[in-house]
Amino acid sequence: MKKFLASIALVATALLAVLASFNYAKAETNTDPTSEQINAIKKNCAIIKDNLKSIQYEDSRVRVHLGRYYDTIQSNFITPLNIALIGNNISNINLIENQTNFVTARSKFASDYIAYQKGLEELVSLDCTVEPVRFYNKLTSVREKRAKVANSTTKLRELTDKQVNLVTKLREVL
Amino acid sequence: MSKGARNLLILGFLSAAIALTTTGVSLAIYHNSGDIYLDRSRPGFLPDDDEIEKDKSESGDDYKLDENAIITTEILDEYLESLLQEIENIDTYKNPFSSEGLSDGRLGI
Repeated sequence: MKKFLASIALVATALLAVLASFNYAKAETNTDPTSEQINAIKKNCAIIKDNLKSIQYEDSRVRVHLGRYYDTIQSNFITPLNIALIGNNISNINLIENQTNFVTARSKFASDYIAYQKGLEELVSLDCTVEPVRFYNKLTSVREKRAKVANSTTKLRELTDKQVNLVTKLREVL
Repeated sequence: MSKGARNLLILGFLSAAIALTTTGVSLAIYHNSGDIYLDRSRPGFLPDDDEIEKDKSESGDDYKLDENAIITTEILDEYLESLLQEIENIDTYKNPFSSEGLSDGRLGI
């Protein structure tokens, strides 16, 4: 009897856990706009699209400039230092690892940015007066992609800081 | 129509077809690879005049560590000073690609 009740309790707990996770997942993916948002999208469609296009332009400008700085850091600082250290018979695995991570992070930044801009272009091409819900759902998706680009830039900044710390430590042991 | 003229006509059409096909394939690759989104030379995304002037003035200032350098504390000091300058340049872009950019308020929703 006790075993039977224990197994019932176990099954009930498992079912509750599954239901809870389902509801959580459902809440996460529910991005339907409110009626106020739908009306605002329909009413301000032209202004929204103009704002999106100016964001597209501004983002491309920021990407080029940041990309140039990251390229300079990799080509003029990180890679030449590791080559020079080899020439000086100085071993520093952390600096080599940082170079690998930096290259990977740069590649991710480019791919995240491309995915974001593709989404943004698709968003701009939608007619928000006719399909405001689809427009808003697409906007939500583009926001997530933009967040990934932001995370990529944060990662690159962290790796650059790490380079400073590693070189400072190297300087202390010379 | 003489045989020569007919052959010339066929050659012309074939050349045009090949040119159109290769152009189409190139454009498809350009678009699908995502390079179009990294290219700032396309209409509507060209840099402003002040950006071009700023790029010209900054172009000669790049530091690069000599790969054949003897690593000394002085070399590393110079290295760190230049690297920190690059970091300062990066930090002029506060919170790049932040969520604020696509917020409802910013877009007018």
